[in-house]
Amino acid sequence: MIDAAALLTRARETLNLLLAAIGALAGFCVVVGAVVTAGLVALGRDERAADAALERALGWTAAETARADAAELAALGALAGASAAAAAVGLGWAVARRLAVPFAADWREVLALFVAAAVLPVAVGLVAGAPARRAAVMDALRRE
Amino acid sequence: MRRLAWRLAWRQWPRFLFFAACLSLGTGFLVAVAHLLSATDRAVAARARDLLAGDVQVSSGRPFGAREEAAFSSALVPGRAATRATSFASMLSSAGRAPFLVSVKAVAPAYPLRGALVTEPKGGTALLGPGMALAERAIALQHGIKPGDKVRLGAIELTVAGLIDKEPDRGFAAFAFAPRLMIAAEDLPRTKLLGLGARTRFTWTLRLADAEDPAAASAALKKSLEAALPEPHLSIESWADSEPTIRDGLRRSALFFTVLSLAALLLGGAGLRAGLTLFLDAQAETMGLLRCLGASAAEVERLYSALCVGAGLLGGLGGSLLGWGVAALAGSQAPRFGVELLVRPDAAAFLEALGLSAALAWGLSAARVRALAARAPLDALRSAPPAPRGLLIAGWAAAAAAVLLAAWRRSGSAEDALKLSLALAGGALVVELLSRAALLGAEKLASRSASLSLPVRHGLRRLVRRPASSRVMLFTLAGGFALLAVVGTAREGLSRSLAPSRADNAPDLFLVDVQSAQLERARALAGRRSRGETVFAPLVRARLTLIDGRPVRREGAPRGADERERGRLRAREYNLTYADAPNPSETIVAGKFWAPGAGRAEASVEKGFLERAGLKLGSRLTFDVQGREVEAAVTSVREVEWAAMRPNFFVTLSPTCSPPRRRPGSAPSARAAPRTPPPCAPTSRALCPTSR
Repeated sequence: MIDAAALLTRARETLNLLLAAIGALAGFCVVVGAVVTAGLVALGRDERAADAALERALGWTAAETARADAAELAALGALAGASAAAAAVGLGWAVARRLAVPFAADWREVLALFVAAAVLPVAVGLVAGAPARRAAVMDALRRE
Repeated sequence: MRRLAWRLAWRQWPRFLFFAACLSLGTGFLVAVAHLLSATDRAVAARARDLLAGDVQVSSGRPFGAREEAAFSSALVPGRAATRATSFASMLSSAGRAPFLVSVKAVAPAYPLRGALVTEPKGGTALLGPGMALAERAIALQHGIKPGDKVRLGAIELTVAGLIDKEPDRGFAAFAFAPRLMIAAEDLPRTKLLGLGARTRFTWTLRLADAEDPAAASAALKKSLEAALPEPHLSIESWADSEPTIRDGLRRSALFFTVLSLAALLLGGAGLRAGLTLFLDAQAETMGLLRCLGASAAEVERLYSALCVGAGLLGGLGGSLLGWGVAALAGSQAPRFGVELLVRPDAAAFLEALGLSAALAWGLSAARVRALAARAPLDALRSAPPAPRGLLIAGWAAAAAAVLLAAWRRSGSAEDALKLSLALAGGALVVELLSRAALLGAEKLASRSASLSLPVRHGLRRLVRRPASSRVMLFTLAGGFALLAVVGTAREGLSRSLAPSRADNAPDLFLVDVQSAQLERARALAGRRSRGETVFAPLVRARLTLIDGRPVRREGAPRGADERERGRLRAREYNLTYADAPNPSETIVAGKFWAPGAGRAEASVEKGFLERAGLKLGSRLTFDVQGREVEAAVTSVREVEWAAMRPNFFVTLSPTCSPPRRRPGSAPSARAAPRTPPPCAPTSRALCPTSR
């Protein structure tokens, strides 16, 4: 006699453990994305400082300069989320076919990922770009 | 120049830290996978002879005949030792407890010839004697049976003499569906369980003399036994055979982690390239100044190439340390899964990580460095010239070769590495195209949305105005989140296919080896207990002996993992069934299933099995069904929904192939899949007769 329900439970536990490990590794790919975003924002500091100085010279407040940065990064995040969702549909379908399992998505998880994709670049980008916004206006303009 | 390089690197240390971080995560996980694989290899190699409990083993689903006995006698020269074991599954019962499935092994006192049987109390097989049994500790934990208890196996009552903590040939990760019950060989006939149609495995195991070379002597003995015993129902293994099987399995499991590590490396590589380009462009004036001060173009190129490669090496070093830490952490958790792994620093993995990072950093920057370094000093303020095409191609080729090499080293197969790299490149292309399309969309939105406030419009335009860095940020973020989402959908799909709700109409209990004489009683009992239709399917053990008239074994060493897998699939024993029609969980995808009552000998083969075993529609298959040859042509290919939990088989034969009922040793047993009413566990146990 084979208790199929017990076997399935054990198989599911093992599978969940493996998928948790794989999911954690995929999470680190997001960390790479965040590192790259922060790094590139920081590397473009001179250009961003010049932009911010010009904006301030034209009468923008510090909050408006920060809002322009946030809008840029939020747009980047939203586009990244949309691109990721579109890519995930195609790649997820291919993976499901390869594994011979139904293509299924937990829509709450997808929504959470989209929100995270929109918020993450704003958070890391604003922090990494803060020195550029704080740079002295006259120094930045003189360098131009 | 060396001092200048140090000064430049020191002044720009945050940038170099960023370059290193881009590569560290990807290389780190590759190093972790390498460490875990090599730790597993070492553990397997150390236990290779234990895994067979001897040096050479012959096993069969039938009792050994005179020919086999003669071969065993001639192999048993002075100094060598041999022992026998008989294994089968059966039900074990004890007073006041529901019967449960155990994997019985009847052994002689000499068992094991290699490794140790660890028991509590100590003593191993010395604790066994007439009427005594050793039970795996899982039996004590799951069913409360302890030393001194009486249990019933078939026709005899046994006393549990001790608990088994470690059995050498139980498998590498000690995972089994039924726990072990070990009895003395002399008690086996008294159990009366080895009757007609019983699924039993007979093994003969030999230990070489101490003076013999283990590798050479076991290979020679295996070869001579294969020559003396060509019958395909016999499986002949040496201790060295267990290693590639386990290693192949582990490498395949590690592929998922390798794919994600390479994906992380790809995303980091994109960031590194963009970062290095920004850094080098910002250094254009310094390069021009160096040229004005007398440095040659080659010297400037060497200086900046060294800086880029140094950044890569720094990333490789960080990745090596990270990977080693992750592997050590995973190794410390391995005993929870029945595996002992000792993770030692692996110099080859560290060197590989350093080489891979250096190759990526050089490959992604070399063309830009040369283009900038080769400019005339006074052109420094003009826009950068295009990168030399030849060096650009060479750089990309070096980076791609480094990634391909890493994939090949992890997967152990050139074919797998190529497939993996192509899949990764395809995925990257999809994300890149989507990122470009998204940027185009943002550009249109920025130019048409006058209702948005000025800072927001300005922010959107800024995103479009810096396409190079925006594209890279978009690519890495979208790639990372897409991977996370893909893993999520795969998890959801797997969970749904294994979820109880999906299997609502599927059986939750199987009865295996119901004998023909028991069939009517089992059917009646299942009918009373089941909440749905009870399906009985005939089942016989068989081994594939010929494909299109050619033997399936003894074809020399396999050339790769796929060929080895094909060889294993063809040579293993199968459960076959006979049927007049496919069951509801099966779909015919090629050929035509035979009509009920058809007179021809035909076979229907599961699609995945057909592909992996290298068969095709029209192949003539010859099976050894408990000593009787059965030949059938493959006339249809089925797709099976395994999650439906019906009695499904790789190979279904037309009823005309069915062995005659009265033929000794060939009567098919049945596999039944009743749907029991909830709550299933207590009821299902009452349903089950002792299987034979």
